[in-house]
Amino acid sequence: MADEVLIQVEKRYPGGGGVRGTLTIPLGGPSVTVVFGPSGAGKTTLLRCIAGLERPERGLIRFGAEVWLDTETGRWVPPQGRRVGFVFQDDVLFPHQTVRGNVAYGLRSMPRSERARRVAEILKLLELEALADRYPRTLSGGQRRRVALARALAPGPRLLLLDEPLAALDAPARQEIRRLIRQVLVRTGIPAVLVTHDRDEVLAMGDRMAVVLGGEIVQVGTVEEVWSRPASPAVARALGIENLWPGRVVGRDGDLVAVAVGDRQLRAVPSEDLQDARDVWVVVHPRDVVLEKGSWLAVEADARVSARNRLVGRVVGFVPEEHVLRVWLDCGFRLAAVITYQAREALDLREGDVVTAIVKAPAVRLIPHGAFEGTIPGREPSLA
Amino acid sequence: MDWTAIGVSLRLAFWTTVILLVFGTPLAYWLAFGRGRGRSLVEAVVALPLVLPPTVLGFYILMATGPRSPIGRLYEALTGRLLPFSFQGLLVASVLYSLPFAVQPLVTAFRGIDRRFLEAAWCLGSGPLATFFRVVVPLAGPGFLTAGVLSFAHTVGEFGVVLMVGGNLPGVTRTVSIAIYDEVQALNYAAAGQTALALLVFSFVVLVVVYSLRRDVWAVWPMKS
Repeated sequence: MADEVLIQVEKRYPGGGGVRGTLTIPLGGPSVTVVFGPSGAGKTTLLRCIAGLERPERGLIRFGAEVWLDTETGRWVPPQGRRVGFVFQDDVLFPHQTVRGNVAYGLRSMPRSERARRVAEILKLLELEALADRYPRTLSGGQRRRVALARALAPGPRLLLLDEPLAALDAPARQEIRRLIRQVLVRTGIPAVLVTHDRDEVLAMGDRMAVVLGGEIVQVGTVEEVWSRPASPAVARALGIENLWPGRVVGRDGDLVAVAVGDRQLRAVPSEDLQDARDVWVVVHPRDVVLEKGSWLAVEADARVSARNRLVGRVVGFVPEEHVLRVWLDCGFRLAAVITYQAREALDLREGDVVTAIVKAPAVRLIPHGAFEGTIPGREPSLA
Repeated sequence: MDWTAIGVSLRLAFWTTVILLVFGTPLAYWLAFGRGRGRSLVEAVVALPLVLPPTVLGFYILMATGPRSPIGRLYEALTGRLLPFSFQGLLVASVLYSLPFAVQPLVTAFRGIDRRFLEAAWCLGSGPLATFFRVVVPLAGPGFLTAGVLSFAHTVGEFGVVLMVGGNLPGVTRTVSIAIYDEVQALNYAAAGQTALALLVFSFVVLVVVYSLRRDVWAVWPMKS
């Protein structure tokens, strides 16, 4: 297929480490492919191979019909010829240049007037106009990250590579950069590859994901696919799988938000970054689930219980853990609950039993997702 | 004061500095960023003038550039003149003698540059030469200053190599340090004292300027890796 980037690499460092595997990235529109894995798994090496900063011993990298690397034929396109934007983990802004100078660095071949116009445009896009004449050492972490993004975007890259773009930022800056990255990618239509070891970042930013473990790309797919069908127990462990379902905000209930999960509805306390998002990931920690034997539908709703969420399901299995027991329920979707052995005895819980799972609204976490679905407002093709 | 000798010294120091910056920069760049083998060998050769007595260096340069050597014969065939005991011959000797004073500050400055600055420039479409002039040179600026000033000052102050290779021809190879030596031999202490004082003040001022611009100037020696 021509409309994708194909990356097949094997890169080993003499002292150990490296990366191996196959990854494809769709082209022709905004999409974020998240490369996820623990520190030292080889994520950054993969990104550097795509940029042309590392030369794999074996491999094929094809951008649409363009071959960037083919070790069979010896073909190699240096970073300058790839037109890829790279945002380094700690920004690597040129210290001898102002913000404006940094952003203009990649625009050398443009005529002067056009360059000035382009720089102004990018500074506006990244909300940097007020900082244009400052030097990098006078900027905060969030500001520096914005300059790094602006610099990488200015020459109009065909692919944007982001190495841990939210790392080493405080919470407000993190939110701001996350919002800006989304906004910028949607406006410019540039596909992006984002490296992270942070699970929440995958859920918040990713459309597709690749899991890298111990120097191997072990699974590639949409975020939902990978999360719902991890390829191996190792992937599931890396993902820290618990209760995580795709949901949709369907309404408000006073201060609470109503979320549809499958054919059920849950109430949740809206988080700060939820805003107007409709598509969300719903996360419930198994320890926050309380089990009651029988179906509350059979008896009157118990007014003495404050919890908002009651899900009727059937026990499908038990997984013993240290000191506690993980109970798997089928409520139309899979739900895990962690209870004590005493609780199991007291309830006389067995497989096939009907139970009600009770979850407090504050224990239901919503992570907004789906930045690229639906309409794409204010898309500016001139930036692409 | 021997103005002719001062003129020869300044001319020699100027051209030595220019040649060293032009040829020392790519050499230092290769030593700092290069991947090829044999770098420690070249580093050792570059540093040799720091430990060799000037007379030893001068002797070998004299032999290498003499009319019987291939280099000397080639130069004679090209220009019709001899290298030893000429300004050009002295220049060759000076360049070799001051080589570590230009190359080592540059290597230290280049090695201090985070390689990712280069990578960031490459990803922005900058070729190797553009990256050198737009990123490496500005970031290594103090290194260039140190290299230039030290090459100049060291050349002004050399004695042994000049005596071996240049001889003592007024207006051609007779530098300040040789002139002072001659005055002392002739028991002409007043003239020697004047010129010596001028050289002392010059060297002191140069070092004060360099130290005020850059703290780690003695990164020059011993060599940092």
